[in-house]
Amino acid sequence: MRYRSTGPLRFRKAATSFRRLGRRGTATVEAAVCLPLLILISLGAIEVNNYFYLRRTMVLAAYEAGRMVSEDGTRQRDIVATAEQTLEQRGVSGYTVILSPATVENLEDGTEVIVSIQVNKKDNQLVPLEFGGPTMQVNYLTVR
Amino acid sequence: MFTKPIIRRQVTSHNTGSITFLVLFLLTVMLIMAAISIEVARVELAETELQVATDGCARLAMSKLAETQDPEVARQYAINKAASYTVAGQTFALSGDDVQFGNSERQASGAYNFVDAQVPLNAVRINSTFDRFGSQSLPVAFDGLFGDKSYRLATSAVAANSDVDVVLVLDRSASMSFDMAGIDWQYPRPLRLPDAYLSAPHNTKSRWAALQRALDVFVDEMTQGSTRTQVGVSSYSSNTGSNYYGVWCSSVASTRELEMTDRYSKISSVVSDIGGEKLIGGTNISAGMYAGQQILASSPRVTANKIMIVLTDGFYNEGQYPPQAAEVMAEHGIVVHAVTFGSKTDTATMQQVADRGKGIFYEAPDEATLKEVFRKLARNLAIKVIQ
Repeated sequence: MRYRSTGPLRFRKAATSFRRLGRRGTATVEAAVCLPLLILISLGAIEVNNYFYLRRTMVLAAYEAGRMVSEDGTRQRDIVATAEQTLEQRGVSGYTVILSPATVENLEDGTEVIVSIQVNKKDNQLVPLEFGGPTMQVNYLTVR
Repeated sequence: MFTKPIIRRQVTSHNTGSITFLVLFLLTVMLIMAAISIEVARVELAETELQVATDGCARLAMSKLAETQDPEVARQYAINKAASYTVAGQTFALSGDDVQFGNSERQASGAYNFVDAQVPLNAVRINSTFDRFGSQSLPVAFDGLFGDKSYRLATSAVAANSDVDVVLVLDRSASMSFDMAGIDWQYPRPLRLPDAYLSAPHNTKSRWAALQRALDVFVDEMTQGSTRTQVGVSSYSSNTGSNYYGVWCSSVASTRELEMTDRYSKISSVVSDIGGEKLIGGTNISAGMYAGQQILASSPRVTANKIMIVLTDGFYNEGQYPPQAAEVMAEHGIVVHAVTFGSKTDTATMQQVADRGKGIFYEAPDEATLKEVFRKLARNLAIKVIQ
């Protein structure tokens, strides 16, 4: 609806306030449409960054444990504890550390060992946005 | 009459939707910021994964080299196993040129320096790159914004072997039969010249007996430590032969007493055997060092770090100037540690031996210190390095 600013003063005032009311409504609608989009982008960016941070932590934890595998005389529990320490220091939860083969104590020098770290993504989400599978796994190949 | 002026605001249709423009602007800014933060995080992850993969391959290659003693087998193994690692969502790959074999040795600063193709081959260096142009690519948003090479990730890792071949070069000159007082030709009581010279050193109070006990400490420490260390023994005095009180006394400048072995108890039995005979002759330190070098050279472990521990209780009086021999050892990649034992020794020359042999000089005026020196040496032999 359009109002013309002509005629007696009282009519002109009325037309102006109708227009203001109309503009206010438009802004509200625009804000209602755009604000969720802005929030969604912010939360999405946060969660994607969190995903990279989580994966980087897992890679480092697997690597630190892998270094322990190669040290003389280290035991399985020391190796797992090293990975767990790295993960916990960076606030990761819902993880599993797996060595393959499971026991490393009596392995000959040069035997290949895989350190795997599996993390439940839901336990580490900052924002409840899910992409990919429910778990994430990182493997690190090293030698005894 | 005063009339309140009417302010007429020009309201036109283009004012409508101003929030939309503002939001669109904010949206664009936020999208760019979000994309940059995500890209930075992604590149950082790729960088970490690349370093970890490179370290892992270096470790695998070094392990295979130690096992097979064949650089080509180790190189192929690293290339094959590179596929076990993932970098930026892609399978990691190495080419033959990325894998280098050489020597990593400790510098005075404590850092380790890798020299390509230098023997002994005790280290592997792997150089890896990940860029927009290579076979391993890392595509990024804002490509070219920061120049062509902004996102070229390159790293290297060095894995050094902890295998050690160590040879003990022991002084079996006549003075090793003396007592610990530091006085020439003074033997532990009741031994006296000429009988003392013509018989084996005293089994508890001679310098040789003290050395034997210190080496027992060395053997104990070695037994508890890494089995990757192998030990050999050479001994030296001087070439001599003469009749002394009607008894023919002779010696050779150097002897290869024990070839490389990981059965450390053999050291004790070899040293005991030497001490079971009379000790004759002067001090040709360099002859012992060259015998030790031969023992090290005959070791099949080309990747092992070579270490020589030279011990003397006196002054060299025959053969090449020992620091010159130490230089020769250093040229062959052998680190020479020098130990003086007793109160009257040529510490200046032996310090030179250690300096030129890139090793450490230890001064042991008495048996207790000598034991401590050998304990320290045994503990410091096995070193595992990764840069």
